[in-house]
Amino acid sequence: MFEDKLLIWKLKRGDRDGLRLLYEKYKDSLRTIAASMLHDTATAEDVLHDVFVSFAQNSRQLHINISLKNYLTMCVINRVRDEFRRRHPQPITPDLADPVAPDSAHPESRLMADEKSRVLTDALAAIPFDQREVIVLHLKAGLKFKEIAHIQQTSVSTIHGRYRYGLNKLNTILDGKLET
Amino acid sequence: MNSPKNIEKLISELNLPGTKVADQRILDNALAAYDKSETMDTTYNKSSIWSTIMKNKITKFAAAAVLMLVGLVLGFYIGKEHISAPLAESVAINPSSIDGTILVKHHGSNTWQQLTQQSRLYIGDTFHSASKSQIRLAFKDNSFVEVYQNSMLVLKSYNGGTQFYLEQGRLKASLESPHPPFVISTPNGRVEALGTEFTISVE
Repeated sequence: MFEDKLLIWKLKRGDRDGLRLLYEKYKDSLRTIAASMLHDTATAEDVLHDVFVSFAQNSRQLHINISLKNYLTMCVINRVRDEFRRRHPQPITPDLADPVAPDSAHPESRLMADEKSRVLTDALAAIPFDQREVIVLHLKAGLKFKEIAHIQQTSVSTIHGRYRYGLNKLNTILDGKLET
Repeated sequence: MNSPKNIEKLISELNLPGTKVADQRILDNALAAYDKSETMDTTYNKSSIWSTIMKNKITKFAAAAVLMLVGLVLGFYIGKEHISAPLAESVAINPSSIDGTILVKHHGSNTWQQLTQQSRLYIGDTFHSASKSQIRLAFKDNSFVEVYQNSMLVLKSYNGGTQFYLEQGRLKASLESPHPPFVISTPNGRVEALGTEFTISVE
């Protein structure tokens, strides 16, 4: 939290390193959120690009009332929702999927990570968007159910329900496909 | 065998990083946007200060009052200018004697004004004499035209010669000799002054 305030302070003073550090800190988690919501790594890259470019443009006049992490997550979610509304989600086949493992990973573990991530994101794509959003925002973005309820403009109990139903569906879909 | 707990763990550990090339492209574009925003910052701050000032209630009322005042003053002067001073130069004809109500409408205007002895006249002016009213238009060489009641007269030209159009009513012209060409047109014909005094009427 303090580190984020320092980064914002740097940005407002015109320090480019602030933006660089901020990008390094949040790029992976934000890209993961976008990619698991959209099930499309190329569009997820575009979302991340647009969010950071827009953030950079406005960072000198930024007044954020929530944590920077939540703010950036909200920016990503809003763009994901726009994208989701704009087009029907197109499931990607493994052949068309972009690589999702880090460049530095060991080839063998990278292949395993690729396969596990693909199975998991395929399963997420198979559940309704609202349930997927709750699960990703809660587990990946670390948002509380109350915060997600505010985003989805519904009650906390509904969010609990969506989370539970979503997990059960994932459990059914993934049955036997993943070894933890 | 998976369980919801395991799935929660898997998702929370899910990481889908991009390529270095993609990251560099995004960061470069973000930095470029950040640099660009620096040049716009000064302008933004100026407008921000201005917008802060204008958000103040007192400023809003003051600005509204000033605008209204300016509007009123401008409206008054433009209206006055429009009525009393058309674009053309005034001519050397004076309304020397006025009895009753004489109205004048300048060329291009739709407004009738009460004519006074101080009024300036312009080419294109239309004069209307009300019932029991008359006016004498005096020229600089002591010539004059008297327009009688219920008349409508238009000053068509005053450039080396004088031309009026009498649409309705009656007038008497008394001209000093020698005089430049002096023409009265009517719906029925055209009369050019040859003598020193004449009367013409249009029913």
